[in-house]
Amino acid sequence: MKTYAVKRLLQGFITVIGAMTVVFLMVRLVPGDPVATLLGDYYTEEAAQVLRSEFGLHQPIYVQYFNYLTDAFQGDFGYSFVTGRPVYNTLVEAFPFTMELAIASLVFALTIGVPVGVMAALNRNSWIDMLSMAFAIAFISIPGFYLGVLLLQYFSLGLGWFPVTGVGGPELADRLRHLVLPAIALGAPTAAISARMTRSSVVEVMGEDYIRTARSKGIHERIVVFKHALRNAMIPVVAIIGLSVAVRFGGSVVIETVFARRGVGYLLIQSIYDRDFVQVQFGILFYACVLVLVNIICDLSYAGLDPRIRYN
Amino acid sequence: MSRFTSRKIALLLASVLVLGFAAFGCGPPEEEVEEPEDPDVDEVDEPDEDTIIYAVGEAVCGWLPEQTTGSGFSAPARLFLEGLYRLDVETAEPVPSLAKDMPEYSDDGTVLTIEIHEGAKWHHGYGEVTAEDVAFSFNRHVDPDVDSVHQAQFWALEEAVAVDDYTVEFHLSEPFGGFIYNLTLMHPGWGGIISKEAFEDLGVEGLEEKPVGAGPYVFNTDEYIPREALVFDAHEDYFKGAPDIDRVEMPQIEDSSTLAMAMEAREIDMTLLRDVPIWEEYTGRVYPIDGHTYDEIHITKMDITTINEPWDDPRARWAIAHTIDREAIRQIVYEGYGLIPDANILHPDMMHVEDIGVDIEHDVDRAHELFAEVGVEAGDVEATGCTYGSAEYRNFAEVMNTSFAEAGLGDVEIEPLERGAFHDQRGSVENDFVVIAHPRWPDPDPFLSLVHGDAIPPDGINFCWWDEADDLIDKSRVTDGDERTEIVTEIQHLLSEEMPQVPLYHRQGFVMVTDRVGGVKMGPGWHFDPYQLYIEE
Amino acid sequence: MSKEIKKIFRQHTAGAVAFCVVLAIVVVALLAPYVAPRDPYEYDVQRRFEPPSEDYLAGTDNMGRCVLSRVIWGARISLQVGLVAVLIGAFLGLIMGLVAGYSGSTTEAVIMRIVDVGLSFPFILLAILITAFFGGGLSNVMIAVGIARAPRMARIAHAATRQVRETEYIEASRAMGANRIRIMSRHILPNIMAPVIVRATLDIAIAILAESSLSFLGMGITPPTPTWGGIIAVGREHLRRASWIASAPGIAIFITVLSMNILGDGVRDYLDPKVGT
Repeated sequence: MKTYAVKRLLQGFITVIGAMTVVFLMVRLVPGDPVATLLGDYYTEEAAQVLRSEFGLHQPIYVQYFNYLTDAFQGDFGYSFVTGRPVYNTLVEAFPFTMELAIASLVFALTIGVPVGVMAALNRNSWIDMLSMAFAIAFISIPGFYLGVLLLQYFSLGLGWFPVTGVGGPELADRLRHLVLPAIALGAPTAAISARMTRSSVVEVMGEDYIRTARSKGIHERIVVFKHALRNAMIPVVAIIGLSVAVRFGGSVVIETVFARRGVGYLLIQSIYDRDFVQVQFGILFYACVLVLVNIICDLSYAGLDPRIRYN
Repeated sequence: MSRFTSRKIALLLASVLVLGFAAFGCGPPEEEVEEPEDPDVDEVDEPDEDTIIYAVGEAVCGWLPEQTTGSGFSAPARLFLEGLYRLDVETAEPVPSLAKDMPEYSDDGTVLTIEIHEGAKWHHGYGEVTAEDVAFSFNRHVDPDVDSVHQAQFWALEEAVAVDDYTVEFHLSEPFGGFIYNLTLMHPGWGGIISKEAFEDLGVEGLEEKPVGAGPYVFNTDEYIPREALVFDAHEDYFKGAPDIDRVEMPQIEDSSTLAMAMEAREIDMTLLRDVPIWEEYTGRVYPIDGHTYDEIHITKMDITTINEPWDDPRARWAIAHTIDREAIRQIVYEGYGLIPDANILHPDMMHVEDIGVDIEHDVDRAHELFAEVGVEAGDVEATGCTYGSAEYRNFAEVMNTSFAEAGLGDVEIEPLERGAFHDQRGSVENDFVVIAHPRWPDPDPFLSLVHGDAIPPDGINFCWWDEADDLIDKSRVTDGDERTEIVTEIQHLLSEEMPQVPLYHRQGFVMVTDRVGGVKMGPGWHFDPYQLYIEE
Repeated sequence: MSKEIKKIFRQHTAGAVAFCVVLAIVVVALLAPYVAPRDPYEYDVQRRFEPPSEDYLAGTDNMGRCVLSRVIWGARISLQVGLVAVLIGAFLGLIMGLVAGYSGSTTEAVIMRIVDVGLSFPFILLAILITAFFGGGLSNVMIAVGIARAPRMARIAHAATRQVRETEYIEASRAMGANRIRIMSRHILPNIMAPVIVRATLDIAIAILAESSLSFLGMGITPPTPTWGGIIAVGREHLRRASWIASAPGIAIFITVLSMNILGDGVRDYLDPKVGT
């Protein structure tokens, strides 16, 4: 177990370096020039030269890469081309809003998705199954930007239950009130997917030999379902969920735009549009680290759920 | 078999579900909307009594005027920066603000003398505003070491000199009537004054974190979170007296639909609106929202790369102009608001601009004839173009591309691009057309500068690569009165004949306010005086 | 032949019906010029925002165009985006996952690190970066969405392959000296298709909607080319005045995705009778 953890950490480290390299190259290969974007209508060759040398963009690309890596390992992630502030600060300020939305949307997705999936699987081919399937597909079929506006129309303007914009004040209640609609809009497709995954996973497990054995031993059906089937059926679902948490930490551009929430997704896309290399690089680095950590935690927690998995 | 039937039922049920969702989309029926809102809801969302929430659509990322280009800067900067002049909202003429009076011109017109008000105070305790600060602020724009992005704007300025504490002189290289607009807060990027002492004390980086101005509102540095929260407090020592409103909060809401809904929910009090269809959908139907409209000095045009074939021939340029259904643009993108320009980019409300009576008809047959004259079959015409990626310009591109296809052109497309790609593409000669918008002010010079040879990329935004009016533009800068009108008319004729850029649309601006806020008056270029705002009883 | 078809219909009724629905949608898309009541580009500023009527079965949009015709023509683009992007994603993902899962050791480590790096970019941001790199337009959007989906598919294929690899059956084939490629394609591939197909049918919806998200964010397919997501985006802007604009494409996406999913289930049952009824 310990060696496995070390091995996974090492792999994670390689992944992070890979992600740093790919994003470094990618932002520079994508057409577009941070200086031209920044100066916009006020572009002159002279002003551009000054900014280029200020940003270090005049250096050969391998020098820039070397500097980027060495600085990053010393904890200096650089300054945004656009705001001139340390990219670390900007991201850390936006992250809590993204994190709370990620968690809220997953809570929503799971409280809806898993029970619906289990119910559908246990009542296979009944109307419950069909209806939940139809619901799931309906939620996957609505684009987030449309669902968001529908929710706002109905619950914020029609019923006046929730605010339209922003992230809310310091009080928890206010903060939660601002979270409800974006969490639903963001969580709906995840709820649908986890319902589908849970359903097929439970169906599969229910057909396994050990369930048949348990049944034939005369164990109560409820115990069979909850103790034997669900426990095993949850493994692939946990894998998906674990990844979903991490994926959500990258922020959701569309939902953050619709609900006017400042978050990581919004920050990153604006940075891409501005060709703010430094900010994009740090955003991806941060995201890669979170993803790697969550993945390791997920993989390790499999062990608790499934004694069959051995680490070699 | 039962499986199939239940699937069918599921399909049916789900369709009903989707339809139900579509029905939700209709929103509350009309009658419901007309009813006054639930008082409970109002109380919950009503902001503090002496605060207004003024939402903006664009993020602002820098606070030093000399480095600031984005139009998102204007709204917040007008709150905390002070200028010598402001534009009158009715006439669009400069009127004194920090200056006591209009400038006194020397006999040869090259020296402007301006007296400023005594006792104006800088924010954050940086003392009194002096002529020294004024001279310092404007000299930064022409100082080669400072590298102000507005340097080109100040081509006429040689030096600003503080004669005494309250008198400042501007020395020009040649007499230039349009120079006074550089001294207005029309665009706070060049009209805004900064404190010399604060600059020496805090430096460039310090001022980015803690902007110091002398305007009616103080930048609240404690509550400032970049891209997240902008807060302004009343400047108690403002030289015209403290403003009526204690606090202005400025959230950023990019999506227009969200903006309008936040307005309806009374989460915000005021906003400037770009997507006119949204304005049409919300105003009038919703009780507390009032829409103010105002004419802007603004042009959206399509620059044609005149060095590419066949666009090097004015007849081809006229031909493409004839294919564009500009009335459809006005109807579809702007709900029928705004003006359709004549055959030249100058706005009819500009000084020295006359109606020369040359229009562009939407005339596909004429377009085909002209293409034939140049020796191209309309069906073979191929061209690429680009524009901004916002919803407004996506609509723009949609109508234009439909026009091109309907006119039977081979393959002509305006592609909406995100910011980075747009700025990369637009200056490229491989790109035949650039659809681009410019807000300016009543002097014609800034519009004319857009086709001056000095502005040909990479040093500017003359994306037509057209310089045939250079001599006339140069001449128009150093003359005034009727003579200038004559020259400008001549330029208008030249532009109409040559068609280096197809004028597409003159925008009308909108500001949405709830009934809480009074004193909103908008002038050209989103110019308004935030000091005039008050909260209705 | 017809006996075989009858048998499939009897045993996998739902899947077969879904297949027919998908086929019908594809046919309608292909026959758009003949099926669509009007020209999808023909606009009329006098007839903007007309509700559904006899003239315009699904109403008109912000340019006074026939929404139904645009949805029918849009099927061409949206189905292409959905199917091609998913095929690209599934193809790349399957190869990577299969090779990694089967080979093990260094090959596995290298491929899975590449997959991990791909996953280090949020999906939509990766799609945006790739679109920015290749430029907009239909084919580039399909490639961008496909590549951006590939790492996710690779993980699923990898996990499934590893499970299958350990079965006695594969060990036996290996012991008998069967060729690697043969083992992978003939023995492992059919056994890992179930999760891949389930995922792919869901991904079609994600791909169709990703195109609309790209448009919403100011990239994507150049207007006025009709796409389902694009029409929904227009409908969103005019939600209050003309809620019907988004309804028709919404229902089209829903029916497509629903039948794709039922079809996916059917194919899985067909390939893997154990899980079936």
